[in-house]
Amino acid sequence: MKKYSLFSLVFLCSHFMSFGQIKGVVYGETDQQHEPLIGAQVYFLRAKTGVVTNDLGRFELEIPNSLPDTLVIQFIGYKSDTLIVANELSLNLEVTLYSSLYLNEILAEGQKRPTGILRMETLHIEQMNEGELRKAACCNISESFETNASVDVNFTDAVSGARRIQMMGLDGVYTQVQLENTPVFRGLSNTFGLTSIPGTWVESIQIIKGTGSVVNGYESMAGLINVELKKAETAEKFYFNAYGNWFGRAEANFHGGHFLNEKKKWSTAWFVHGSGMFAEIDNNNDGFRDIPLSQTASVLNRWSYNGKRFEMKLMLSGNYDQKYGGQIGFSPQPENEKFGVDILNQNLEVYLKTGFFLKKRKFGSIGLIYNAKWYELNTTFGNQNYVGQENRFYFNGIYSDIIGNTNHKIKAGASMVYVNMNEQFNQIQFNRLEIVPGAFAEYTYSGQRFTSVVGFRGDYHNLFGFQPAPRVHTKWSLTPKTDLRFTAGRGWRVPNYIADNVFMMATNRLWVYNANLEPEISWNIGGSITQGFNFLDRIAGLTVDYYHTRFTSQLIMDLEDPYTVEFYNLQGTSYSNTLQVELNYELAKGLDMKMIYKLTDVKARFGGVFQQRMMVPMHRGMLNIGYITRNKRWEFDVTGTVMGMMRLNHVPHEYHSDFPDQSDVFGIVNAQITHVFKKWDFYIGGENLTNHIQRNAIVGAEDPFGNYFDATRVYAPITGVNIYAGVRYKIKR
Amino acid sequence: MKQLLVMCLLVMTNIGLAQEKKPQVVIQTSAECGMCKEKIESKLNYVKGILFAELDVESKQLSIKYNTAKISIDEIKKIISELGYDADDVNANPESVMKLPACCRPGGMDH
Repeated sequence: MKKYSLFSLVFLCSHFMSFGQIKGVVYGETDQQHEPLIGAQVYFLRAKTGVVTNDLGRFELEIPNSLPDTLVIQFIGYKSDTLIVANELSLNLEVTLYSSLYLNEILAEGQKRPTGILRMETLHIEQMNEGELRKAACCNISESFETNASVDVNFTDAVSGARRIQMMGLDGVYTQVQLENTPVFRGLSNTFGLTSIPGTWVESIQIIKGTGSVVNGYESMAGLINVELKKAETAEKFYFNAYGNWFGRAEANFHGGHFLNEKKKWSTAWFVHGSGMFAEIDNNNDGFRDIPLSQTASVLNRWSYNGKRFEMKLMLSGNYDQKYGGQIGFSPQPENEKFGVDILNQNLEVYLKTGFFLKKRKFGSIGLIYNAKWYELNTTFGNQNYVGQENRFYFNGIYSDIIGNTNHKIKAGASMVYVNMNEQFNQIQFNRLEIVPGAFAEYTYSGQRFTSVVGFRGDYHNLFGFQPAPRVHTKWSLTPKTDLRFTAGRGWRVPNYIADNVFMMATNRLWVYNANLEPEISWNIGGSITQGFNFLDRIAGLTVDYYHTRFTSQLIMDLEDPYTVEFYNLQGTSYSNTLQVELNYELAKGLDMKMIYKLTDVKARFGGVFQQRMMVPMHRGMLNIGYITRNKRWEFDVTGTVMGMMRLNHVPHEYHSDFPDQSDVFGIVNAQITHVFKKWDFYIGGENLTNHIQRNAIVGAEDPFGNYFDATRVYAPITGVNIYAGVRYKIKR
Repeated sequence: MKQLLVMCLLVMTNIGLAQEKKPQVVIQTSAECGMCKEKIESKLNYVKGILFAELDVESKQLSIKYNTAKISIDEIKKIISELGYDADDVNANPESVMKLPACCRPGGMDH
């Protein structure tokens, strides 16, 4: 049994009776409830006999003649379970399947790995839960991908401290980032959005490669990242985290949740974050602050109501973030003559989700999601100014039901996006009002070995007309330990010159707009194979995936000419091919290893030549080793990353000797130790332990107001070794 | 070289001596599920004198390494009993058993 429950979580309560029959009841457990699962599949793997659970979640099944055999219990959206039946003695089983997204701490503890592919899902979903997020204790979501190779995070430039993500070697704008299934961090917020959510607020992160489900929108072109925050119902009663590093960054996070009444129908939670960078550092000696001085405050308040037929979740959040970067000694006073970077981010947001369970149809439900957002971004880089304002309203209504039985599920609904964006960049105004009504339908078939999700959505954009987004995802479970997945789909988005590329203000190149703004459209096709196996009696897992994304329309930003940032519409071919191989292995009890290799081939016509996109390494490798002591009170974690050669921005001739067109191959090592007490955790860690520093990060640093200034060539750390320490204190509910 | 060998031997005897004071034992419990595992481990691993406590849910066997100078095996069994589980010959405290979730109760499934 141990062998077969590799990917499943179980507790089985059994006793014996005296017929040649197995009967029992299957429960499903999610964050909110524990109830009988109707229509769960129970079958013998070898004998191929099986039944489906009835209205009460009960089943009865004859024990096959040839034994031993494996009994499989599965239900879509839940982790399946298996049991080896070795004799004909009758069994009465009580099986609990856990929702795939169920992340109770109890389970995280028992789970083999804090990160992994969700086996029951049709889509290729990689999940990072709290255990994985703790491995990179600092600070916000953008940093939590440090131990993950599917998502790359890079600094955008050497002066603003902004980070952006990349999936499939494609810029983060092609990845749909969702907060609890609501698309966020788009438009103005895509540059600083991810840094606005502290890691300690996060319950789990799901990473989907390829186009996601049609239900949540049309913008997932390369991938989709969904962030689940801690819930009002399950958040710790009280949680406090303090962090500090030797560069002068300090951070404090609080949260706490409680039920408002005895019946536990109402609950609420508060989240507060404050942080700042208080010291000027210049480790690469270029006269510029390596990390801008900053002050950040975020608050979030959530409410939840769980009734019998009605559910409601309300979330309110606000964020204020002020950064001062630039030359050492810069201050935002008018008489200041130094080059400065002044970034002010402010936003307010409201999310409301309501769910109704239909009385007449047991599986029918209606979910309504509303999201309103106000965002303002004021930035100054030297003499360049940018002011952006975005007002956004989003609605999504989803009806879900089954057709006949739970093997056939359907979701259908309608959405509405309203975005009013006003931007002013130096003297140029870019104003745009987008109204995009849409409709979608998605059918899910789940058989014993084969599941498939087929969806279609159509949206009508007020400026660009109708855009379809057909998508299909399938999964075959070839053996109990082998899953084969395939995905294909179309995604699209409307690009922005400035909002998508705010960080390009860190260069004084001339902006040249040679494009008619058009929607960017891509097709993504790909697949993966995950194989679990035992090697030398220890658990191992291998995942190989390959994805191809091809643009039929794209806004190209071209930096091949050293004096301009040129925008034009794609002519010819633009694609991305990624191959990722990931091997997980338990080297010894408590000692886990993760080894990843990634090949990224992203090409389009830049500067008239069909070539690799800048800043995207063709080869990348990662090794993560984690050790947890047997009493689970010490956690050790080391991650090493090797980045291959990248193409960099070209520079004017006079700078050629110091600024080559290619980066060198380099490695980064991060490590962390955590000591766990009953209520306290202490951690200490180091980043960039090999002290790799990119020396020439800023072109024209001696004349930052001159035409040649370019701080966007950052590909490696510009700060040296970082040592940090922190503490967590929690009171469970 | 000789000195090194002597040192190695000394270190090894030290470990040997330390192990005698810190035995690893196996206790048969009545824990039924993953939840019980969490409950027992998260209690025992923070008890002074216990080096580690690890439950194998299938066999219901709890592996414990402890320091005899700081805690006795009877005291450990008493803690397990107070949590609501049998520990070898020590029966579970009936009051604690009633507080356990239905599935975790020993014999709670035989109805």
